Amino acid sequence: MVPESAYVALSAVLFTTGVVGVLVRRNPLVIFMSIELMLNAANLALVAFGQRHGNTDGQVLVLFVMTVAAAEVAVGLAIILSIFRLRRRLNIDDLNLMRW
Amino acid sequence: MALVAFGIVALIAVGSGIGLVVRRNPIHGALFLVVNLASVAILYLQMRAEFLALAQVIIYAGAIMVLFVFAIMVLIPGKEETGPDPKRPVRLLAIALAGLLLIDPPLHDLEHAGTGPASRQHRGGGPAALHRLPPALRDRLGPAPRGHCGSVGTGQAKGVIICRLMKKAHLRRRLSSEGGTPPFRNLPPSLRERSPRSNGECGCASLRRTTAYASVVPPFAALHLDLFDQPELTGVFHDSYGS
Repeated sequence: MVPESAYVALSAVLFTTGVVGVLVRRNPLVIFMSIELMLNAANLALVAFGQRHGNTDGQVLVLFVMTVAAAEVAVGLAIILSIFRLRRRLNIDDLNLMRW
Repeated sequence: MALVAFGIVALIAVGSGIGLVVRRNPIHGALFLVVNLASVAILYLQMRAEFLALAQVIIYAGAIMVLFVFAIMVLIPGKEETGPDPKRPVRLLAIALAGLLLIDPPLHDLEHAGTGPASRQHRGGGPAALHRLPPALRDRLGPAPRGHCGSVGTGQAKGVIICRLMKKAHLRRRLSSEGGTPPFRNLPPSLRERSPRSNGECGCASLRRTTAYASVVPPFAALHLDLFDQPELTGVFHDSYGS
């Protein structure tokens, strides 16, 4: 049987990969996909912890996270599309519109 | 055993995650993310969370990734759907053929083909359909079909009609690609009124008419053979796909 710590370690690795993607990439679409990767890593950890405690609370929480992720992708991609129509290019460094 | 499976799936997950981050092409990144989501779904299965695995595949790979790929395709515009379309008549012909399919589906007839006279009442258009045709076309099709051979004959007639449709589309495409105006467009108004198909949009109305005629002729399996056995069709296919 695979120990829960292995799943949690894998989740940590995936989350770190997602963080690196968010930090180093300049394409907002790839940054979005990296955020999805991080959400998935968190889901994996949630399910693993739920297994450890012997109940399904973690899985219920994962369902909520999936819903939020789907809604977030819909809104975020719409924002990215409108930004592209405004600027005609997609560079995350251009998007300092809300910076003080 | 379970540990080995976990190791393999975990390697795939980590590798695809790294691939998502390091590939420059966002489409490649999206495909790597699909692999990653699938491997995480396998891990859910290993943890006895079957419903979550299913939901993962349906929601992430089915809904979210489609959105992502769509956005990527929109943001990196290609020239496929913009600009002049050299195959426009062929695409318009597709609409006519789709109408043919909708009005008289040939699958129904293929099931009952060759099962004897009892099946003829299931047919979409029998001899009665021939009487709805205009007299000129009815003469061309000959007498009402009887039995098996007769339906082959009308199937061939339908094939011939479709071949004419395709040839007409081919001619119109040739005209437009050579930069010439369609004939009859520069006719004086008196001549234009005399001939029904001589107004500006030459061909569209007659294409519709021919399709309407073809849809009342009972279909048959021989139709498909006819489409590709017609010698006059080879020019169409060679022109559109060869060059």
